[in-house]
Amino acid sequence: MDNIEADEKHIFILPEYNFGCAELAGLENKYNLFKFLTFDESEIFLPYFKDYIIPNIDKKIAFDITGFLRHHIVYFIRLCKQIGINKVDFLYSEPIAYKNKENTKFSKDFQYVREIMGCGGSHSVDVSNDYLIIGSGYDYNMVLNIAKEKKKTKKVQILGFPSLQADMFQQNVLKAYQAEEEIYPKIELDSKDVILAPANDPFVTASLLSKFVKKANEVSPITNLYLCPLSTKSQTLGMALYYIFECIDRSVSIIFPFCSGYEKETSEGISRFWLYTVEF
Amino acid sequence: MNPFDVTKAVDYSDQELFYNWVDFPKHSFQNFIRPTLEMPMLIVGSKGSGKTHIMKHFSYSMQKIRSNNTFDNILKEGYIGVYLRCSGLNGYRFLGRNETEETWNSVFAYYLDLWLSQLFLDVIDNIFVINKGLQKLEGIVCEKVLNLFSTSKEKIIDIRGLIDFLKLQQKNIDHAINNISLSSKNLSQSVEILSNPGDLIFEIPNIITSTVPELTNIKILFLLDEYENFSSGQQKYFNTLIRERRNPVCFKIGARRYGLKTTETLSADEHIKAGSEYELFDLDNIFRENYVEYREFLRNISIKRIANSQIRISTDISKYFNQSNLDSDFEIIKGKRLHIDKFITKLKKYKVKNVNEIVKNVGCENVLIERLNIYIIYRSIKKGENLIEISSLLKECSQQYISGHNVKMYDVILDKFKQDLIDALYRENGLKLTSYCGFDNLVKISNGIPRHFLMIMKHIFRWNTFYENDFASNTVSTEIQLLAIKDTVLWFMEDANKTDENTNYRYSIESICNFLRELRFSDLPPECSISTFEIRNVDFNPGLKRIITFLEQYSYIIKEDYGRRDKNSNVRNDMYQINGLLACWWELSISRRGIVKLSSDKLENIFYYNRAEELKIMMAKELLKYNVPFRKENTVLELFD
Repeated sequence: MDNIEADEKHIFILPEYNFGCAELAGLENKYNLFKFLTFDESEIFLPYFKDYIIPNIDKKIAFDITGFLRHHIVYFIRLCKQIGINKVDFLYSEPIAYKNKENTKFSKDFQYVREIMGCGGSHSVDVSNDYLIIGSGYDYNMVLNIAKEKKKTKKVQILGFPSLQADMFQQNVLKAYQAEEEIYPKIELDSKDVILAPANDPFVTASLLSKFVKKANEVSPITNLYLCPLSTKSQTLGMALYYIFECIDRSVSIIFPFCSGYEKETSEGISRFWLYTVEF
Repeated sequence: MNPFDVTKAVDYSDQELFYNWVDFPKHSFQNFIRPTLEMPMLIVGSKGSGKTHIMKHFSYSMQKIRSNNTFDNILKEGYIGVYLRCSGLNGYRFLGRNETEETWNSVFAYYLDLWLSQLFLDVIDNIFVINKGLQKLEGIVCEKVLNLFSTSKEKIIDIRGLIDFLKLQQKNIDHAINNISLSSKNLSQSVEILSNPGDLIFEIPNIITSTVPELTNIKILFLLDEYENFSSGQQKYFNTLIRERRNPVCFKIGARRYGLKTTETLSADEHIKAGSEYELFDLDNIFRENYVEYREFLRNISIKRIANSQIRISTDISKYFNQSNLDSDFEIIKGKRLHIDKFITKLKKYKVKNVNEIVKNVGCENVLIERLNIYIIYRSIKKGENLIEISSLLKECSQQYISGHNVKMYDVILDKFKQDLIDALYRENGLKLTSYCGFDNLVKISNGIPRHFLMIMKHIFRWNTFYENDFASNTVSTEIQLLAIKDTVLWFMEDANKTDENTNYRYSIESICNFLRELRFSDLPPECSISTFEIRNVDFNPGLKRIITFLEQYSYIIKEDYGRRDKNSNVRNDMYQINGLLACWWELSISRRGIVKLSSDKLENIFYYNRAEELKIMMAKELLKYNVPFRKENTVLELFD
């Protein structure tokens, strides 16, 4: 944060992380803090866009996705597309490891599933070949929650490969097996129902997703498509890019299992920084 | 290939559903469901009870397959089934975003009408395609249907055009909802509701059956699956349609046990009543109350699936499953005799005199009788009897029994406690309990939920492959069956991870099972075959009621229909049996005989995770009553000097 040159630096304090005053004390005088009580992504970003983004639409925007929640990232991109922003730089810092490996807890108290604001498609009444594509990370309870909501869809998982760190793929697969019964009749890594996409490359993720859907449509047209980003933030970005470039006005929605809280510290160290430039 | 890989109807295509269809023996699902019945029916069942498979069986796509795509054969069934999967409607989008509940409810009602009508017209379109003679009526149908809309004066001449028109109305709503969060434009500004609630659902079928002579007496059956996916407000609207049902429309609604969130309607918040306004069909109960047919049903499913996988087996499927082999297991136990060690330790700990002689007297070449003798000694300790005398008597009894004579005292105890004593022997000697194995026991364990059985079978085939065991030529070992049960339990427990308002359901399940297990394997269990508990007045305790309702709705505990009358107060108490899968995992009985009576206070200690300390104390006190030296806390037993 300190090493980035910018006219203004804004930090969002999200209620899901439940930060105390003491934790924020060091930031108060340094940056412009935006504290929110609402859990609704549109209530956070719509006013913000009105006040800060639209008046500065000709300026450069860099958005650090590392600490944002997945639905915020998706909605942010959807709004950028909606209001006609040309270019945004997305920053992402990759962890060295997750604290408790495959047993790291991320989310707390699952509440409900709904579509991410602005990402609801108009769906077909024919549900005979509905697909749910899940970007699967370590948070397998959330994967299960989404799978249960869309019990009667064909389910496909995007697993991060290559993963951020060498051992993370194995950890991810270990978790994937735990949800096997809710997701597939049988899990096979070389099956057509698994997409292997780099954990830190949103563009390849978007491209592989697009290829998968085209291929599936050739076999038998997909009646409705649901996307759910639960893997790395880079893959979340990839899924959102695929949605805004290829799915708006189609029977495609991005859905998400919402929780009342998230763990603040889930990872250790920073191995690499990424800069993803998106031209809308 | 594993014939049981698919355990959910959703993973089957229509053709596969048809191919794998197995009817319920003797009664047939047709007789239960009665598709042409005018009274709406609510079909409830646990996850995996087969609701979707059954409901889809009555849908048009399956009607078409079984009638070889022949219009006349479909008509012979007397109805046309329109299947709706409620989750497909994405009911979650109709809330929040600063819109009032009233606005959402009216938009949802219109949306549902449009959605169901599209599904119905899709079926009609298909019928017009397979019976081209009817196509001349399309123009009249379209004209009449369009009159149901308040403003539209579209010119539509065929059913496909009508469906496109409805789709367009639906799309307008979808866009309006989406735009709330992109443009701050509210819903009432952008959605125009063009028909009265329910008109499309009741009147379009009416128009079709009155316009098309071949369909005059045909019922239009709407099959709504996954009703639990609708919110209370959304169900309230549909409940109103149930109350105001008009011919030729019939409804079958499928829901999980907890699926009906409200019985309220929009008519002055009145409730729809089971029996008079809708019929309640409990699939779990049907399976549980008709055990013989249920067993036959699972046998037929298994044989069909295995045969479809090109594995040749005999129709006597039970012979492919190993059961508990007491003779060989008793030989192992004889070699270990750890139950005797435990017995000696106990007697010595409580300073019983003449331990060696007592132990010698209870000894018997039949280990079950030996364990029974130990049980009788424990009972004598409790009664304060002379242990040397009793053990000498037992020595004689054992000899008589071994030489083939009846021993009444043994018969009385074995009649009730035989399985408990066998299981105790296994447990004390470090063996896994195999009394859950065998086809009949696996059926029993599934507690009327076919998917539980299918899951066990799926894992049996997996482990069979792992151990390179061929199902057709070898029997399935008890080890493999136990591994399969374990895998199924892990899946079953997944739903218990839910927590709400200071409740941890997983903890509650583990806690009640642990408690019952401790009782079952105490020295003198209070009841035989423990796995059932009884509770009174739970209705007056909202906290307990909430947990029990959850556990019952997810089938972690099975409510016994009639409960039991309290001897003193004549109040009927509620009785619950632990689910068979859990019973196996916690080494409880899968039969229901003895019933453990629990007060609300005790059950609160067991179920509430913030009362772990109280539970510890309560359990210690409780177990003192059933374990040597059988005393109340702080009392000195004179027998042991």
